[in-house]
Amino acid sequence: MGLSAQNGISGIEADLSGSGLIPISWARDSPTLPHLGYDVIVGLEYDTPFSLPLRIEAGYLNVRASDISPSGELYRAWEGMRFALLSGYIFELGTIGQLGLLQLSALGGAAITAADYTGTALAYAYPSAILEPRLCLILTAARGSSTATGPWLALPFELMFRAGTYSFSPGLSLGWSYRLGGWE
Amino acid sequence: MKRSRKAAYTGTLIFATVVLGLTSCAQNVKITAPRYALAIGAQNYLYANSLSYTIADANSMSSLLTQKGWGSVSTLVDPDSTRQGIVDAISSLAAKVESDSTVLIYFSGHGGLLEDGTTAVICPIDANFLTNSSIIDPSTVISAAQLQSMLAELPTKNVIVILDSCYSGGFVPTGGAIDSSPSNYADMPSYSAFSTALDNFGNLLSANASASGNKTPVVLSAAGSDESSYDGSASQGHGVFTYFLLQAATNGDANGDGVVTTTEAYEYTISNLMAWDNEIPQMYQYIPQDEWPLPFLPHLSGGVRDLVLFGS
Repeated sequence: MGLSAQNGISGIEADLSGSGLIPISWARDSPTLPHLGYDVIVGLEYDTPFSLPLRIEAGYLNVRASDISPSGELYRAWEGMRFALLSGYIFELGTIGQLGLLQLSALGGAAITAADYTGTALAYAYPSAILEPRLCLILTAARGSSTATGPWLALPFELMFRAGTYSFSPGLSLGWSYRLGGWE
Repeated sequence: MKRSRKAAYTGTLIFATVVLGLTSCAQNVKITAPRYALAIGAQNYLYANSLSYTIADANSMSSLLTQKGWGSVSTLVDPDSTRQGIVDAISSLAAKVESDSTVLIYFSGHGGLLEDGTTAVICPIDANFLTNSSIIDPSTVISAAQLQSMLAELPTKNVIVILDSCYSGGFVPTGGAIDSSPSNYADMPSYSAFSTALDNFGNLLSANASASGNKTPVVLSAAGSDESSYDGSASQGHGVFTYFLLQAATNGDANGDGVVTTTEAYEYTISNLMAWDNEIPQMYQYIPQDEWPLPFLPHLSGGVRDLVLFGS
């Protein structure tokens, strides 16, 4: 049995999160330059037995233009919708006093993004790979209710393959999850 | 258990510190690499109707670029704006330019399509039309492929091309993107880049995979590949596209970082040209409708890279 089942926590979770991002873009014979960005993501996760979560995400991503190199080069701003599939493993870290149950999820997966270069009529799309360690707290106060809730904190890392250019995007993500069916 | 919790907290703190540090480092850099510009104006054509403001376009662009930090700016106008004159001027840049330099080629003049109806060309003043025909002699003009071939001789990949001419959208490379603004705006006066992205997801992913990205020039064109641009009016004193592009140098800094990139210049120009397009019926109500200029929109090359156009 998975941890969720062991703790009487429903295996289905919906969540909403927002991230601050610092993508770094580079290409062959071109400078490496940082951007700033953010995303807002809605996720749906099913925690299968054996602590293996299956997760789908849809979200809005917005990244500003990069810094400018001494040669006057930069990477354009872009915004778009990202769709991701992730899986991984959930580790139970134990309880924090009376606060709740702490879990660590190690997630990895892939995403595709439909985007446009901000301020232009140019549409494009790109794939990316994702790695995301996530700390999730399931609040004790929610125990016995129909929906167990709690905050989570994640460090998402995404490698984007964009038209001959790469962008590596580390971030800091804060979210709130709702476990449908509650914590018995 | 306590150790892993402590490690998680410590990791989070370190990461947050790095994030804040990088954010504070995200500042603009002064452009130190040399920049070379060539502004071409072709106005008094030997074998076609002459234009009114293209020499003024080239002269104003040269002055503006000099003010905005371009170190070496050349102007090529009549009677030197022949095909050979243009080829020689671009070739002479190759001897001066360094690998980290930026080169800008600006052209204001006639543009056209070859007999195949798809190959866009820019027309020097000696562009020749075959006898009793509107067909252009291809040996007297410069096609997109020929211009790309000339620019490939430059030892830098940082090249901006700006074309204020009819059909100039035919010079704009896709760079793995789809330009959702139509090749003829008169046929489809609205567009949405995002819905284009969603509608063409599969094609765009394929195009993204095959795009090489960083070697092609950044191209800004006055019109689509199936559109005429407009030579302007006395009140503007410039081609309509160039009139708004020149304004972008002072009004187009969308993100307030002190410089105007080609993307920002495009953004400013397209929004003002759309407003101008919409005002055509009011502006030209006293002349016959079949003499009104057709609406047109600028186009921008795809790709992830951008270059600073105005500012240093």
